[in-house]
Amino acid sequence: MKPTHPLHKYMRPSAIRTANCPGCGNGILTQAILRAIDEEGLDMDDFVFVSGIGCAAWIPSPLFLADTLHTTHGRPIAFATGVKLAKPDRRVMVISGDGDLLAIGGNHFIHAARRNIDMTVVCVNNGIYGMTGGQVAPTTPIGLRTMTSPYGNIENDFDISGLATAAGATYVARWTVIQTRQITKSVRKALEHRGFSFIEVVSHCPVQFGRKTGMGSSTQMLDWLKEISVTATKASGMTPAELEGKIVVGEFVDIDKPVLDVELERMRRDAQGGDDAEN
Amino acid sequence: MNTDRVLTGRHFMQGNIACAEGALAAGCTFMAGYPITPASEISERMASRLPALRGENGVFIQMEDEISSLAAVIGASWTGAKSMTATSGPGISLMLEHVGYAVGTETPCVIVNVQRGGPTTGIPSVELQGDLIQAGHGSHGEYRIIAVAPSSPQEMFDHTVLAFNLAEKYRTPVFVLADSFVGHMREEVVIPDASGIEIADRVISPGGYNQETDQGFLSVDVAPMPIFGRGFRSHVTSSCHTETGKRNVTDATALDNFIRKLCGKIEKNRDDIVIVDDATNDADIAMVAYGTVFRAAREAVGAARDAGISADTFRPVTVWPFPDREIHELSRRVKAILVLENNLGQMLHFVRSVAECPVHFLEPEVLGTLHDIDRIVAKLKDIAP
Amino acid sequence: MEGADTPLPKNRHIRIFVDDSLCKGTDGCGLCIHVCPRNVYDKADMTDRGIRPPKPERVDDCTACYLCMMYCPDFALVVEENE
Repeated sequence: MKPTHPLHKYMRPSAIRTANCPGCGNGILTQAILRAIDEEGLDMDDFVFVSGIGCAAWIPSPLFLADTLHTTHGRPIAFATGVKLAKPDRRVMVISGDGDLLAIGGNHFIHAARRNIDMTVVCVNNGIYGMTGGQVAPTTPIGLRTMTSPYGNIENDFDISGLATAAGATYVARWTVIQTRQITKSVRKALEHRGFSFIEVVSHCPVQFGRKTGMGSSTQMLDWLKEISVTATKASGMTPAELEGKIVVGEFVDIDKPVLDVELERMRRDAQGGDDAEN
Repeated sequence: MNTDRVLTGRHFMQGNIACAEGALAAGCTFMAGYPITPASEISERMASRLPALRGENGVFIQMEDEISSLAAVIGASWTGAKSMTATSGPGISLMLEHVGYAVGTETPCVIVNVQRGGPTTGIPSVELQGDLIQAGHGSHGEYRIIAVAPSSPQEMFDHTVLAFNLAEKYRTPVFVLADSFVGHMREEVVIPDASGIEIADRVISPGGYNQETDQGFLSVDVAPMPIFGRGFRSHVTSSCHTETGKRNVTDATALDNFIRKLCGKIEKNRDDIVIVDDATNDADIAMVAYGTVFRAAREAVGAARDAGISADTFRPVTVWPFPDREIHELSRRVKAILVLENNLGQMLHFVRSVAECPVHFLEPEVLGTLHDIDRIVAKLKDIAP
Repeated sequence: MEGADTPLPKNRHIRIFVDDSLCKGTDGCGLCIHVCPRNVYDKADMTDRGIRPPKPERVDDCTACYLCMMYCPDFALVVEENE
């Protein structure tokens, strides 16, 4: 008897042929996330997956066989905030891209981190706007020629994990899709962590980034990710010049702080138990 | 802070506060908002009242902007919560994308617009009826929506309850189109006993509902809502989708079905939704006015009679859907219609498109204030047959 | 699962299944071939869908490291170890 893939049980049967391009890093990430849920022994029915607009947002929607909310561009975290606060027993996971979460959605991202609301956000960073055909993004390396930076990108790019840390996220990690086992470990940790958990995953886009900018095929880009990945420990002993063009991977933050939904519950107890007073 | 949901009794209450109390009486458990004059009192009241509701999990959150406020409201509504936001014109402008999202995903929610002087920043504390067309057609694409226009603090209470009921019944966002005048004025508000307040709740999908295979609801206009957390594994998307929530962004026929079904939901049920307050009887002239301008028109009836003019009021209570049939019938009974709005003519054009009698228009002498009675009477004299 | 079903090797208990209907082709993708440290795969002939899936040609060399299965973006590979 021929087996089914062990993770197919988490997917909508009508959606298992994904819309991803051949060799898309998002597919590797999808597996890493589902492996984490599987290894943790969690039930998809406990989750609400929320995603914005872009290729990364198609990771949970329509693929995951679970409650899924596919929102407007840039706003999944805001929608997710409403879901979590109104029904705190849900495990809320946001999976969306770098343009979605950091450009148009940047404001919602920093405020959710500040609030330390209990949710896991996976930011899929491919350094480009893939779905719309390869336009420059806030994460595009400087100098790169894209569809809207035809003379070469002249803007600096974001350090997304640094931004998450500064904004107050209490679990922050960055990996590339080459470190697929570590992604699974981090997702498991994020799911167990109470508070705003943020995982940046650098994922390669072989078509809109690779082919259009001349960076190469999927396998070539995967090799490139491996080559430029530097662990946080090793990076701490390197100079800024040595770190130029490298991606520092690892866990950066893992702390505990008051969690918004918990604080909300405490606030309600106080408000309801207080003196019955005026109208 | 009072821990009861319904503040039964006679109150001398500000319109904005009455709106908040109406939301609570209707069963609201979630509000997300952002400060803006002249609507902030609604958020402030809900910030106090929601968490204090005895034995409940009421949530108020001040989000980082209006865009995220309506997003959070929609997210909360999908967990089953009756949700609302309140803002003014500039905030609605920001929220419009999500108004469309709520329409397309059939998410019940209430959006209160306490209208202020515009365009743009304008004057925050002055009333204008500048956002009527925005409420009906401000978001992109083709759709239909419901809006109510209160004219008193009592109606800020009553119409907010009505708005929630319509939102739940038709799985749609509903606007409460107030303005700075009715939001900030204080008048008597009578709040009945909870048992005397009619509440509607959304129909939720039955247990065991499977979005992939269940075709049962396709015969009804308003599908039961497969809210989150019930094991329905609902796929909610604002992309064009079929009745089962399955995305279809390739076939124009799918879009045709999507638009017609969503618009049809409102248009087919317009007889249930449209509410008008018709006092015209056998008057010669009908004064068509909504919201706070109705108060001025109402006052003008007596002064007009004293001046020998037969005129009375016809008020759309629901301003969207536009009461086209009712106004058409009206136009066949009266000799002339005078539309009064606190703008340069927004409902006017809809009235003109269905009326068979002459239609005239009067704005206040100073936009952003209410019409003087003398000015109304002078106009009535001018157009009297 | 449709696709190439390898016979059980004599002295190993590893089986590799390729789902041709999910695979997007080793020409555009090819991550499985690329990450395999034991050179287990070749490219198969083009299917009716116009893609060349991987062909597990040297299963005897496979150590069940699962790298191909983990890096396949389309869940088209299943590696099984039987007792």
